[in-house]
Amino acid sequence: MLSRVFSQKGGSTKSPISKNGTNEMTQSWHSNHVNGASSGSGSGSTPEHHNKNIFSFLSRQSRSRSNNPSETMSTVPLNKNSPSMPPPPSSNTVADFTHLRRRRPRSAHYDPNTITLPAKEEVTPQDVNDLYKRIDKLGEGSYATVYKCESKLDGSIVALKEIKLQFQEGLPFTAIREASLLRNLRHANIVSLHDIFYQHHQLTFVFEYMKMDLSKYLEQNVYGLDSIDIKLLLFQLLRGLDFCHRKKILHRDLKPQNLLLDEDGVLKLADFGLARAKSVPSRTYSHEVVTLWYRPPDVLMGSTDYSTSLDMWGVGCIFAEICTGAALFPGSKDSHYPGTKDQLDMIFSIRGTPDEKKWPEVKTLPGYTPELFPRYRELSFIAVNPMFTKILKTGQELLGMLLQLRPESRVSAASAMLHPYFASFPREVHLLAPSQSIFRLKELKDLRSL
Amino acid sequence: MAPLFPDFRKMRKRMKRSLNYGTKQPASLNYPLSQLVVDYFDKTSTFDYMEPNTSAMISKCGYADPCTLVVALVYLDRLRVQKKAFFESTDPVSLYVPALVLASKYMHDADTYDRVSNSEWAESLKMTPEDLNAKEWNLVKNLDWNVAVKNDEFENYLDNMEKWVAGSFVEKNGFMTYNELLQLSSMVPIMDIVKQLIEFISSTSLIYCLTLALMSTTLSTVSEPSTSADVTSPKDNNQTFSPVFLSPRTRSHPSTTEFGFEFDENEWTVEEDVEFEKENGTSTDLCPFESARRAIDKFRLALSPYLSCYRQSFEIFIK
Repeated sequence: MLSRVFSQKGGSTKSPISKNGTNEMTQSWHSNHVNGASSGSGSGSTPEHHNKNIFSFLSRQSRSRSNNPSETMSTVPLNKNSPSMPPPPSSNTVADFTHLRRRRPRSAHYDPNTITLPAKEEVTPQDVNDLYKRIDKLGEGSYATVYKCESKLDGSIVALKEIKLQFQEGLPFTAIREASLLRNLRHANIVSLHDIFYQHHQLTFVFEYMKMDLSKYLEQNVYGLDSIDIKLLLFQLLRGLDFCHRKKILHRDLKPQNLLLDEDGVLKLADFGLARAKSVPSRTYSHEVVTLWYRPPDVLMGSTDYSTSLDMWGVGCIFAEICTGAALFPGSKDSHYPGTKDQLDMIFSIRGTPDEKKWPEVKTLPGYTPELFPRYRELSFIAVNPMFTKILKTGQELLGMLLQLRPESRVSAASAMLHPYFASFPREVHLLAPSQSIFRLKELKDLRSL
Repeated sequence: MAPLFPDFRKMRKRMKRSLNYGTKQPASLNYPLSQLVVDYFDKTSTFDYMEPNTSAMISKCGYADPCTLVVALVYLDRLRVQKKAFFESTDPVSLYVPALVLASKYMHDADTYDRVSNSEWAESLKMTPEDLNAKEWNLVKNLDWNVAVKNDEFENYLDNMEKWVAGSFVEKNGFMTYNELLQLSSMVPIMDIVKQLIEFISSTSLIYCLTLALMSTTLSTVSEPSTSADVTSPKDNNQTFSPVFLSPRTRSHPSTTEFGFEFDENEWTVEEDVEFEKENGTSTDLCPFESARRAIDKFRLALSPYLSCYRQSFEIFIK
């Protein structure tokens, strides 16, 4: 103790002489001696910028409460200080412990040679441009651009997703959601995330490459797909989505652009940027989810208390679209209130106006205005489009179960996979491991025609 | 304002009660939770302490609610387990603030009320946005993007938080309210205590019952016979059993009176005693059972009105 006092004395005596950086260091010593604690400076590490900002209050307070330099230099105040040491340990109150903590920072107890300093980055991170060569630009969205790339190490083809970082916003929550949730989703029908890079103020995700998305594939098939292709694609979509829902993860952005296909006809869910986990309690969810054409009527009317039924409506819309080649409810946004009137009108004209007896919760939705819409009756899908004959009666029945207006009445992904529409599939398709594709089965391998 | 989830409303009601929010809504971190963070870094961080003033200032900006703090503590514990060197070589504030920012981004959607941008965080904490972004990236990189939190994980950490707040309350104030009793009683091994208590009570009851049975048997044996006698009742008894036991005596004394009949009974008893002594070879003067014999005779005489039905078995037992 005495040696420390002498060293601090020497430091304080030098302060009026020199006015260099050491002056700042000695001032910190002085405040450390008087105030007792200052995180960062006493530990030997270089003081960081935020510490100065945060603890500027403390330094001012310490200066106002500091003793006179003459008293600190003399030995008599030291004798006075020593009686004040024993009382704080005997007390149980937090205030006294705080006072004791301020006097003796933890770092002061350690030998400077044993203090753990920040480890230097020994391994230099590899540049993403040195690892992958860009071949083609696949697509561009509002917050990311996707490139087809070739790996320079082994020549494999990957998809690079470059996420634009907003000004001064740090990591976007879409990236945090996508990275964290895709780590828990290893499935044959869900796209896999290989690596993440953060360089040049840009965040890059490395995904497995898929040939095209369902939207482009439908552009090549204007009149919809064959009945067997419809069944295969729908089953894979339900299989991947059931895996997500079992893990309490909602995709919340199901649309043909987010469903990827490869050369073998395997379908994979992609773009989990809007996805979220239901495992942590949250005040409310966003109601600006899913693209407008694939948004269920309860969310269009302002409901945020949705669950897996949100994704099942999207499955129904996609089911209808791969059957006919055109979107089932292609509404448009208009400037009148509510902004989704046209979309709701399209939905009600086919599925009927909401019946308050069958769906009593519809009255509590903020956007429910029954006077805006005429009385519609539910139509059969054959009346909407004759192409729905491809999926036979069982398929139309399943489509009706997916496109129920009431969220609680919609079929779940697990139940939909057991619908008689898929009765022609072998029984073993339900027993496959998550990482195995349905085309491992010989019967299904022979069926594909992509 | 969008309607709240029922489970969120339930969770908030629970937090309001168990985390000492009183009449306020748990929309930000209160003083006990600020102290919890200080205590957490006191116990886990070897780099330095966190000042209570700093923790209070971070809580005061109001951008983090208790749910966000639970998720942030999950991240800090993961970091402590996975990257111990990084955790121990970083300032507590440089770990705590980005953990809150990351937890807030993970939990809340972009267009909801709880959404907070990095610039707002930096402005409140008097940091530069670039500095906060760099710390956030540092945290995410060291967590290896493992920022998904499961429900049971959340429940575990919330339960520990509630216990810490209750323990801190008791330590500070010296008394317990019902909330503290409820939170801290789950830490006591009540089931073990109940089992031991049941075993003790059952064994004690068993011993008591056995002792009671033994005592009742002993007390009935040492009871004193009364000397009262009824004159009319023996006559009826004698009439009932005379053909079986006393027929030879009756032939020898056909004209005996009632008093004489009783006397005959006494003589019969004396004869039996004499015969027993002769057979065993003991003299009459040194007979140790004389007084016992007299007591038994008196006892039999006293109980004869009540034991007439069992006279036969009783005499067999005596012999």
